[in-house]
Amino acid sequence: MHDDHKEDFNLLEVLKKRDLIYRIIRAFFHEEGFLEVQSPLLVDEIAPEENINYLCAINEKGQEQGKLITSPELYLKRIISRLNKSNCQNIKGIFQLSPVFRADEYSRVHLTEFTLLEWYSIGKNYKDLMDECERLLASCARAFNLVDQNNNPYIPYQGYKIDISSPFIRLKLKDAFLKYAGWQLNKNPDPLKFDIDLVSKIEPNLPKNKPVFLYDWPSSMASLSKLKNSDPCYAERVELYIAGIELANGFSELTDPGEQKNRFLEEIKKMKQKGRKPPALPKKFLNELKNMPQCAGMALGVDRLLMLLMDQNNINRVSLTP
Amino acid sequence: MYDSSDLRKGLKIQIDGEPYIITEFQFSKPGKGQALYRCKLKNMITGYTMDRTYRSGDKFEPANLEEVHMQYLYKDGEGYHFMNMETYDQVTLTEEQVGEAKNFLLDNMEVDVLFFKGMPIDISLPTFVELKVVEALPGVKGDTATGATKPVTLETGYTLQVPLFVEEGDVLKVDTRTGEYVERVNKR
Repeated sequence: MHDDHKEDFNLLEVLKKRDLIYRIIRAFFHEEGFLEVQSPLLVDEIAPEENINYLCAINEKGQEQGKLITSPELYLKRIISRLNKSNCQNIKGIFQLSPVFRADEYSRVHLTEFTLLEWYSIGKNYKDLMDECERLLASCARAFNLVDQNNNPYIPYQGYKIDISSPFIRLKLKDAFLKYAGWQLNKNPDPLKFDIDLVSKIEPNLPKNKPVFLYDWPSSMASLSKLKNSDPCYAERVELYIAGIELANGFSELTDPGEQKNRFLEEIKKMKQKGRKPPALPKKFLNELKNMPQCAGMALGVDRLLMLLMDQNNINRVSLTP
Repeated sequence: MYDSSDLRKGLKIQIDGEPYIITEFQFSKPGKGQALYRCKLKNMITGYTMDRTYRSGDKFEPANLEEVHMQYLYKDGEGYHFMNMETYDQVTLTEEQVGEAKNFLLDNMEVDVLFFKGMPIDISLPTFVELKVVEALPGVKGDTATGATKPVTLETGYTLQVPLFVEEGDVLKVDTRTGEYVERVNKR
């Protein structure tokens, strides 16, 4: 493969397509009644999450001045909580398009700094998020002129034709594990076995002709998500995969501050067991969470979306400064 | 000691006292899941290969290898002969031990020969080598389309894809890690 050859890297093409995707995303959410916000990137509170490594910002004397966001989640939820309190309820939701930072991640689909789209739909749940994703992706494909002779949106990716018309495939995670990994998921699966089978047996074998939503994840793997009323072993969490690439993750959001605090403490305990340094409990967030209405939030990797839309197999190929 | 984040293709580590080289490497990390470092490892003595998955925090011993700077002399029925330029000692490696590196070996080239417990087991090439094109089809004049390539054969017998402007007699810089064309350098 000729991945890293500079001569066929087309800067102008990437520049134009990046500009286009930002405009499409903004137009889509404005059309849906959302408002765009910008959280600070340098913050004092981040969510303790066992498997997400954060970066600290230090001054020239080596003193910590804050942390770089791994996602704008806490900040956006605080905005929604305050909106609700002051009865400004005639908006459908808020969204942010910004860089986020995750330490120690590097591969053909990972960057330490990448562009994340995150949105929160007020009054909605994770099933509504799946519908929103379907509409957003169809908009993107159409804006990139990716429509077939029947005017259906599609993405040509690495030799596959991915049909982007609704509905996408919706598969319960436990059915995916049974089908592709051959075992029955329970509430507390062994995290190593779970992750190895997810990346080596499930992701590569998911259908390539259609995007796939994997939904209902074990409660131990969704610390900011509401649990299912019908079966609290599972959380109302959904992941979107296209061509085996994890593109987006969302939840029906957990709105109970007491339960959220306990879930964070559980994450902090797991981080300590691994010898890691957990961030402090995010108190401002927890204090304001009591005012948050039912809502659902989704985070989507914009660089990966560009990889798909531009038929590139390395995330560096859609960066302006690879 | 190496850490999981040092793992990459080509790294040599020690497992159960024996040297292994990572021949394939893939970093995987589900958004909310743990980082996994998936490796295909080849035993540098027996050639035995195995798959291993490592996690963040895993530690590795570097392979206990001695590198000796040597000159490549020639190849015959026995294998590839190298000479220590200080002691004039000579060692022989088999074609299998030399592996892909044979595509880039020219008589008198200086390389590092790797020894494990006194036995030569592998060679380590410079990252870039310059080799002459001995066979090339003429390029189409005026064709400047980006990405278009054609095959050429180098003086070592190795064939690779290069841009259309490359001609017979040109000297090319080649990346020995990937076997790919880097650039055309001044004619030798």
